[in-house]
Amino acid sequence: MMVQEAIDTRNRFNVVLSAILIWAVLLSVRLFYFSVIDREDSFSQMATESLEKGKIRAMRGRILSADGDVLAFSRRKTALHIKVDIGGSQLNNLVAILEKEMKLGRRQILMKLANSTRTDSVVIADNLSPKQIERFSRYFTRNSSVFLKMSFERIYNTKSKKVGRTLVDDGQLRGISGFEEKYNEQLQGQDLIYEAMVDRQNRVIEKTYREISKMIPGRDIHLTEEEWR
Amino acid sequence: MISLIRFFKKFANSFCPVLLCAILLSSWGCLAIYNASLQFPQPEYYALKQCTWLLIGVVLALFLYRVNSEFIFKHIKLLYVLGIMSLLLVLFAGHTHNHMKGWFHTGWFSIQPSEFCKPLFCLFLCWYCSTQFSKEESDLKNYIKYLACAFPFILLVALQPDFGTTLIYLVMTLAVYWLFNGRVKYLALSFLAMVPVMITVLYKYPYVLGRLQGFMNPEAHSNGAGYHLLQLERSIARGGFWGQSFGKGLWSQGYLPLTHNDSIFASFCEAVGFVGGFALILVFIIALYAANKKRERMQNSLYGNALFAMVFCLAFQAFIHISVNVQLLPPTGITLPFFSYGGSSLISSFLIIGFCKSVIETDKRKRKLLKSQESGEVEPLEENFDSVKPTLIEKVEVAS
Repeated sequence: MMVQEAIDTRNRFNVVLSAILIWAVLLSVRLFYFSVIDREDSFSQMATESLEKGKIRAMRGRILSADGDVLAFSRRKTALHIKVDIGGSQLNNLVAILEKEMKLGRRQILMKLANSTRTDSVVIADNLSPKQIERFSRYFTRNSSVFLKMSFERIYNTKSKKVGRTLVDDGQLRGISGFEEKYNEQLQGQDLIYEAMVDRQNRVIEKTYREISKMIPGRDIHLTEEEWR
Repeated sequence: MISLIRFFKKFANSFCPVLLCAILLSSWGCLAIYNASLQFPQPEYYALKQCTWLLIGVVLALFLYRVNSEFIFKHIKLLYVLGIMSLLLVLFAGHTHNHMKGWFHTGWFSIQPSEFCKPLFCLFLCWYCSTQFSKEESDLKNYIKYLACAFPFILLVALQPDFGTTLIYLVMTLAVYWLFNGRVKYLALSFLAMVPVMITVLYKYPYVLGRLQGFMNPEAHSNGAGYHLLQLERSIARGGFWGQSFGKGLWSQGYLPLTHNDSIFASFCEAVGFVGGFALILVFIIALYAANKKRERMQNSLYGNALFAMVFCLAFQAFIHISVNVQLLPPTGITLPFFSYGGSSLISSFLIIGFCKSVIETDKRKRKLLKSQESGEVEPLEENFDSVKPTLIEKVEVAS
């Protein structure tokens, strides 16, 4: 009777051990599948999700008169955009952040959204300071309905039509008349193109950063006396 | 040479190897936590805190090792009541985190009573099965009484609601019953009884249903419940066979949520690859196998079974965690013993280690005493095995 009981007890423990062993084998097989067999497939998914080809626009060069006066120059500015199809809960979160960071009232934000004629996104705040940019970047996740957009504006110190004007074309300033058009190629420079993995907050993971083309800032144009006259 | 062999033999028989293994495992965990926290502004914060818990855990394990197991089993009813009281108190005065009211918050640290109650619960169940099952009563009556004792713990943890830990309590209840000659039909009935409970949970807590849906088809819920699972898979995939080495876990740093606790296995696998992950699985299997071997050699069935049940509790918890990380189970929020960040979990794991060794030592003393009684060296005394080597608690008792 005692022996039978001992065998029975032993069997019970063996059942538990066997179950755990089978479980361990399953775990190992699954682990092997993910780390070795299905690795390439996961890699391609990772690439589509995290690999980002980015462009940093080169600053357009200045136009200077023969005396060295700056006739036209570019200034970088960052704006906060909201996609018009932003969801309710996300909008509520954003309003709370904006109220805290920008002292923007809820009513103001909602009015901007309601009055928008654009179909993609609305500028909620323009000309953000570097401190504000840093603070906002913490809140945004990848693919969220809120994002920061950097652009350039061209400022003219002269009313002369000779200098010409620029137009924003594909996020880049392009000369459409006067010296702006004539020297467009020199003024424009070359954009930096990079490839990198970005994290959920859309921050570039440093070690994965690779430059495809280097940035060459736009050259300044010094006009001659004759040209300016 | 002989003295060297003797030293190693002594070392192998002492508490040191088990404790050293646990410390090594936890140190490995601290490294994994540091690796997983590299994206934070203070990456060493969690790892240093975990090291503090590790030290406290080691001290408590050494203390528990010196406590006679008889003493613990003698006061198990009191410990049971204390456990229930702590779980009750946390429901009223606890701190809510992640929709769970399961922590006592005390400024610098938090205490999770359900973690500390785990070893206590195991011990109580073993003690109950070993001493309270009456041969005069039917098996069903015994089982119902046993369930009635386990139920308060399960209910209080489920009310937090911490369903991951509830699962561990449930499985431990059934496993201990099985180990102590439980009937299969009652276990099957218990599983059947759990079905309506599970349906109610799914109905009452929609996020549980969401997790289940995410688990079934992660790609379809890639921006919701499936997101975590997809990132787990990718972290493991990035590790490959040999791993990317510590500090290079880009995916776990950039994408994987809860890298230092719920997803630590995937984060660890990104650093050490399949080899490291497999080694970790092996560690828990070896621990369980060794516990079983030790149990077979032990004289007292209560001690032996308690030892096995405790190690089983650790291994089961570890395997649930790993299963979630390799997408065999939906997310449960269960931590990896010795590895995941969390003081309560780590200290509780070390308490288990301390208790296991205490049980082994007590049984050894008992055997030694019986042997000497048989050979006539010692006068047979009632319960005199304690007198062979007075333990810390006894010394305290004598002094008082």
